[in-house]
Order: sequence, then structure tokens, then C-alpha cells
Amino acid sequence: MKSLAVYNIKGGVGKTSTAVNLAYLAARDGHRTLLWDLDPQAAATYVFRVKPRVKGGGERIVANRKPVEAAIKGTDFEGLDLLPADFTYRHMDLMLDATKRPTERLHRILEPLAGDYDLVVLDCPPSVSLVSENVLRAADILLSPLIPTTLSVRTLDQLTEFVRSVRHRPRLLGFFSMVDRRKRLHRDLVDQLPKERDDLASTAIPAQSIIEQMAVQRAPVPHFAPQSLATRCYEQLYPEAMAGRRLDLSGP
Amino acid sequence: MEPGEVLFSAATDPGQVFAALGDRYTVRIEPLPAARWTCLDTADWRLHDAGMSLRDARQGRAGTLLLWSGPATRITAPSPGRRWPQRAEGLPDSPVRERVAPAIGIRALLPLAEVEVHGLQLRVLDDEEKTRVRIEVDQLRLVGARPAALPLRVLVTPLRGYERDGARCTDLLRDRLVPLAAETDATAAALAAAGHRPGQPAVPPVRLDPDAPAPESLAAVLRRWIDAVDLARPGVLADVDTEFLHDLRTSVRATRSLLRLGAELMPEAAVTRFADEFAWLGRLTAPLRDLDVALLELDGFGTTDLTGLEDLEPLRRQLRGQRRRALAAVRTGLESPRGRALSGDWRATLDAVARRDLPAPSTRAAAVDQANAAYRRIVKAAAGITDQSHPDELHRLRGRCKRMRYLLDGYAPVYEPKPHREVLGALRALQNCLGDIQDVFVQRAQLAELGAVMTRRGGAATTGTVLAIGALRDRALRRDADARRTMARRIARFGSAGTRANVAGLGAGATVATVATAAP
Repeated sequence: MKSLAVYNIKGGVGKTSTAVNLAYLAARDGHRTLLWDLDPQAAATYVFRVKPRVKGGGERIVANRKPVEAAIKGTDFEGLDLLPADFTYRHMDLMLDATKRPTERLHRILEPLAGDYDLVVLDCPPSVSLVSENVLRAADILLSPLIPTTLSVRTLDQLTEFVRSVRHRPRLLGFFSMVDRRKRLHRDLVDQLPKERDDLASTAIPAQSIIEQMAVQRAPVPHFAPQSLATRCYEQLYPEAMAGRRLDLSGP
Repeated sequence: MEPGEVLFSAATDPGQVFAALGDRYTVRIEPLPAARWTCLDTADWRLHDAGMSLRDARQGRAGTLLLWSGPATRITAPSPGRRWPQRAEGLPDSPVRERVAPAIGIRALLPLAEVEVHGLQLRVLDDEEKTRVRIEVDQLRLVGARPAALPLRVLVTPLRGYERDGARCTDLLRDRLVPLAAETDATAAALAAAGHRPGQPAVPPVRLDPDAPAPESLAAVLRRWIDAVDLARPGVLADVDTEFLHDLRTSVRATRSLLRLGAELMPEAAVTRFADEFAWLGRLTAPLRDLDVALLELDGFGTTDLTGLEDLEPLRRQLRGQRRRALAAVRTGLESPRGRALSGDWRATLDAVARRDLPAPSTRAAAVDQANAAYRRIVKAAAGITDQSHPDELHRLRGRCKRMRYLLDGYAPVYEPKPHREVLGALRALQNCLGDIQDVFVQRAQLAELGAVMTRRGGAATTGTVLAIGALRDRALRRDADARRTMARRIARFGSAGTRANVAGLGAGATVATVATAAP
């Protein structure tokens, strides 16, 4: 079972859209896929029309008092299941802190699912916290959406440092998200930067209203707009994200 | 049965399912593309006996193999995209093949029932318009020689985490409509409509009255064997798998044995004629069977240890070439006027034998007399056997053993059970041992001939192949020596006072019903 975390320190950069659409594409390709909505805002859960609660409270899963399998819900899409968000996840740092080996908790929770799924996608809340450390431990691939600004390179560097600081190092791959090609800065960065950095995907996701429509349609973009540009971009991003399991981040 | 599957009578309309659910839930309907199922198993129900059920479900050009292994384990793989029948190696490399291959061994999967499927999918939604339960409603129709409407199939599949909703839907449908018996599933219904009886022998057992005149019972038992010949014949002609020929030859041998042992119960002219006819059929098919056995050995389905043997492919190629020619000869023979007439003529003769109104012993008396005579012949023939005896001599002894075996199998319920079990055990042990020696003899002769042919042709075999042939002959010799060492003990057991007493006790008592002859 591979695990892909969609993560950024910042909010509003397209994490949930990416997690939802890539999870859908993986399932469409025949991979048994689980999407875990770790964000208490529960946007991914909303898209899949699932009630944003874990029976008995999400803290019971984190505290190992309820098997994770019991909380999983099937989505309307073949091969794609969801571990819904729960409002108690807003205190996840505290929950994790109360467990043994608090940085490995999410990894341990996912272990029993290895036979059930080919891919787990983690939709992460924006922060640098104990949750983030857990995500790094649990993920094989850390996919990070970046808005094309001058600060985005700095954000990616910060993430690289963060990944280097932990023992289990997932493969880190950034990609430009919410790209508005009418803006010169966006164009320049999207055209230039992936050529200079091998930790940046060549695929960029455009800022399109069709992606915002996900919350209205309550479905992944490739499902309700299969011919759209956004769908094509996610279809290109998916193999880039999944290629190779780990990137050697050792070095200075 | 597939989890969640409920069958309703063929007269049930899919609209009734929608109406039953629609009263309580929000339900969306979507048509499903027309599909066609091919229900698969081997001729001797190996998948069924292993608790499996396999279906090739096709929609247009795309298809999926669906395997149920146990009540809740469903495995899928792409269809092989070829026509059925197929052997395990014709299936795509997949978990389905991994499960199916050990269960079916050397047998082919046959298309036992073809079903047309016209379906609808109902989605049961919650207040967020999220699907909680998927319900497939399939109208099934058996197509082919015996077209028939099959039960309406409803498959309730709750999405993960919504199992209680699924159970509620199932309960609701069971309450509102009248389901068929729980043990019936769609595949079983299709197979039954196509005239199959999963798990049952292809030729049903015959019932015998132990007090009936012996010729009447003999005719009934022999009719069963010719049924088996006729059933195997198309599989031999189409070369579906090697076991059709094996079944045909077993039936021919059984017929010849019973004909010989029961010769005095039939008109002499009929015995003479059909002894010749079935001997001809046996001779016609023997070379092909020998080559089948040799190839199965090389493919790892026999007892030969193939460890460390390389470059066997030229050997296989050579054998396959010979097999093609042997198969052509068998086809020619079976399709000849003689081959075509045999079954009909034999059946007419058996009918006449059963109708004869002449004084005759009872079935039980004749069966016991024949068993005693067969036993005496074997003991007498075995008396001159040593571990140095020529294979031909052992082969003749084996023939006598087989004849007695067919008799004991054919009339099993006529005999006293305990002595019958004991005699059969001693006989089977001796037979197996003699069978090993004969197999080795045939294999060695084949290898010698192959070696000679390949040497004559020059360049057809690599050094590795020649060495492999030599190694195979060495291993065959070791098997022969092992079997011969065992043989003395087996002969002694068969000829012992204990076995003799059991043979004498075969006729004590017994009231009987069904003849459980060895399954053809």
C-alpha cells in the first residue's frame, strides 16, 4: 500500500481539490483507494456527500479505541472509500500527544489497511504541528501544492528542510496550483522553475472555476467534467506524483 | 451464493423491486449495458467440489472473470478473450488463475450455461443524495439449446460503512416480494435449467434389484458404461482435455471386463462381436493415451521427478508431433462407419439381452460367482510372478485385476460391505503397484524410441536433451525397482487366507438398491 499526502503549511492552495481528484483518478485506474480527510473543515468529506463525523468521535480512532476499518465509508465511486473528517480533529495535536510514540500514530493506524487498499491519500490540514510530523511518517509521497509567487520557492525549501529533519523521509514533490496564466509572474514561474528544480512537477493545475464547481456538484472534476482542461491537468499530475516511491533527500 | 444475491421467480417484474424500495427510499434507476454470462466448470465439477463458482461476464468485447471462493470471497480478472473451453494455462495470469489452476488440474473449463443478462442499477440515496446501497436487478435468460427464462436476480450491495442500510433493503424486498429458496443462486439456476447437476456424476447410477435375473442387471450396468462412452466422445473429438479420452477408455475397459466375466449371460455371437468391437476401440485409443500420459509426466502432472532436468522442450515437441498424428487416427476411427455404429448397435443388443426370457441366475448369485472366479484367476496367475517377471506378464496380471475391480465396483451394493471393502483394498493396492510398473515400461519404451528418432534425425536434440532422456530412463528404472519390491508384499496380501475368506464372504446376505459404479 502506497500513501500519498497532500500537504502544505498554508491553507487555500488547492490541497483538498488535489487530494479528491487524484484519489478519484487512482480508483478509476483500478487501484483500491482510501482518502482520509484529516482536515476538521471536512471539505473532502463534503464533496463525497458523507456526514462529517466518526461514530463515537475521531479521537477514538487516534487513541486506538476503535478500529479504523469501522469508520470507513464507501463513496459513490467504485474502488474509492473515504475516512471522513470529524470535528474533533481540530484537537488532533492534543490527541496525538496523548498517545505512545505520538509521531507514528497515523502510520500505525493505517497499518492494518495494507491488505485492503493499494493507495491511501491523506488530505492534510494546513499547519506545522504534530499532525504534520505524523503525516511525514505515514506518507511515501508528499505532494505539495504551491501558488506561483516568489514566496513559493521559499515554501518548498522550508518543506524540504522539514522533511530532512525527520528520519522517515517521504518523496517530496511540489507542483504549481491555482495558476492564472494571465498573470506574468505565474507564467514565468510555471515555465521556468520546474526546469530548474527536480522536486517540482512539470504539470501545473490552472485556477479554473470548474474546480470550484466541485463543491456545487459534490463530485471530483474528472467525474462531472471529464473533458475539461482541469481534468487533463490532474490526469497528467497523477503519474508524476506516483512515479518512484522515495527521493533521496540526504545531503547537505 | 453471492453475498447480497436474492432470487425471485422469473415472473417478477423489475418494476416491482423499484416500487418496493421507492415507497421508503429515494431511488435512482440507471440502465446497465446488456451482458452475457458463461458459467464455467470442468466436466467432473472440480470447481464446484472445491467450493468455487466461476463465471465469464461479458459486455461487448470487454469481459471479466468472476470467481467466488467461499460465500464471501470474490476475485476478478480480465476475461481470456478466447473461446471456451480453456485449460488453466489459457487463463490470464491473475489471482483467479492462481486459485482455479490447482482445483482443476489438467481438466478444461467448459461453457456449461450461457445466460443473457438485461439489468438495471438502482441506487438508494440518503438525504445528502449520497448512494448508500447499490441494487442490481437482472433479468436472466438461458440461451442455447434449451432457452428458458431464469429467476429475477437482485443483488444488494451496500457501500462500505452502510451495511445496515443494505440489510434493511434486503429485508424490505423479502417482505414485499416472494424470494426463491435461499440456497438457490443464479449460477445454480442457470446450470439446472441447462440440464446440469453440479457435483453429480455425468452418468447417473443405475438401480439394480439383487434378485432380478443377472442378464437384466448386466445390461443395465453395461448401458451405463456406453452412456459414459457417448458422453466422453465429443470431448475426445474436440480434444478438450486428456481426461475425456481417459474416461472413454475406462468405460471401454469396464465394458470389456464385464463382457468377459459375464459372457455366459449373453448370446455368444453378441459377446464375440462386441468383444472385438470394444477391443478395436481400446487399440484405436491406446497410443494417444500413452502419449497423453508421457506429456502429462513432462508437464509435471505425473509422478516423474523432473528436478534438474533441462532442455526437455525438444522432447515435448517430438511427443506433441506424435500426439497430433495419434489424435488424427482416433478421430478417423471414431468418425468411421464402424466407430459411429458401435454405440447404437451395442445398445440394441443390450436391450435384447435385458428382454430375454431364459432361465438365469439372480444378479447377486452371478456377481458373487464372477468375483470368486476372478479372484481364483488372479491368485493363480500371481503364483508364478517374481520380481524378475517380464512386464508383459505383469501387464496380463494387471488386466485380470482390472476386470475384478470393475466387477467389484459395478456390483458393489450386491456384496456384503465389510468383505467387499477388504477385498477392494487388497486389490487396489496390488493394482496400483502393477500400474506403476506398466507406466514405467511404457515410458521407457517411449524414451528409447524418441532417443532413436532424435539421433537418426541429427540436430533435433541438444546434448542437454539427450542427457535428460537418459536421466528420465534412470529415474524410470528406479521407480520400476521400487514398485517391484513392493509387489511381492501386495501379492502376498491379496493371496492371504484373510483375503480369501473375505472373497468367500462377499455373498453373505445383502439387500440392495443402487449400483455405485466407478464414476465415468
